Amino acid sequence: MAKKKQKHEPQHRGRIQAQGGGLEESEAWSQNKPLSMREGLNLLEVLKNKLPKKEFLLRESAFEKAKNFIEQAPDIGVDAQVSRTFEVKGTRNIRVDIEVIKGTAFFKINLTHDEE
Amino acid sequence: MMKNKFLYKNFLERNHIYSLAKNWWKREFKKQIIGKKTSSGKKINSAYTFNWHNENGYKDGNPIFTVFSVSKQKLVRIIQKKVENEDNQDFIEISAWLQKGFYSNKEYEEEIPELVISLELSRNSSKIAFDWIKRWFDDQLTDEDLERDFDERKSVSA
Repeated sequence: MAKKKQKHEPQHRGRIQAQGGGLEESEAWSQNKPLSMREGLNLLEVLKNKLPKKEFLLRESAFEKAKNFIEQAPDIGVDAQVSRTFEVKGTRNIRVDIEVIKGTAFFKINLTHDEE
Repeated sequence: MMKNKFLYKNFLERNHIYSLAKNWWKREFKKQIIGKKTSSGKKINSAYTFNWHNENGYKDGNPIFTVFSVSKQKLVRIIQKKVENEDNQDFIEISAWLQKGFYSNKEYEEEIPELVISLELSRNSSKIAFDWIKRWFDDQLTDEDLERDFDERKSVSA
């Protein structure tokens, strides 16, 4: 059953996930202001630090690609819906995913007037 | 199996080839999936294709095609990768997995089962991809099937 949107749900949502090979860890955001590039990079760091060292090392190249994606987003950020997969070469599904589900993320210059 | 001819291999270098590749996916999806009977005898009659916003800014094939089937309540996402070694036409570069994706429109937002296929587009990889898509919509595809397929192809190429 589809979940009907509520009037006062947070306007900016998304998640960064480390998946594949039996691992499923994620860091999500859900807030009323767009997510800044700095906040996005922080979430990526938090996710990295949650992983066992072996799992992080396996995904190191994918984390680097995800970091580049966040850093190279346009100054005003990216708008939902965005789904990006950063794979580890030679594996079936070892990856880092970034999903902007709603609103805007990874801005350097905030042009919106959303409430804090 | 016939030679593994690559399709739209310069799609990352030229905008018009990127557009041709994108349209190829839409056209082939309509031709091979819409209105066709699955092995269980059911037809995929309605599908809603949509473009991710990031396609406008990132023409890198990640993803190149995404579709949401209204009737099956399932997503398919295709990641088309750069051809790394065009001389090796015997190896088919393709992998896939199942996950929870996200679909939202003005009224609803929901986690939806999603098949993600990552490939170098060729005659042979596209045949495998569409076989998986048909089985996915027919509820005949599991993550274990995809893992087994990947392991088998890897052992053949080793």
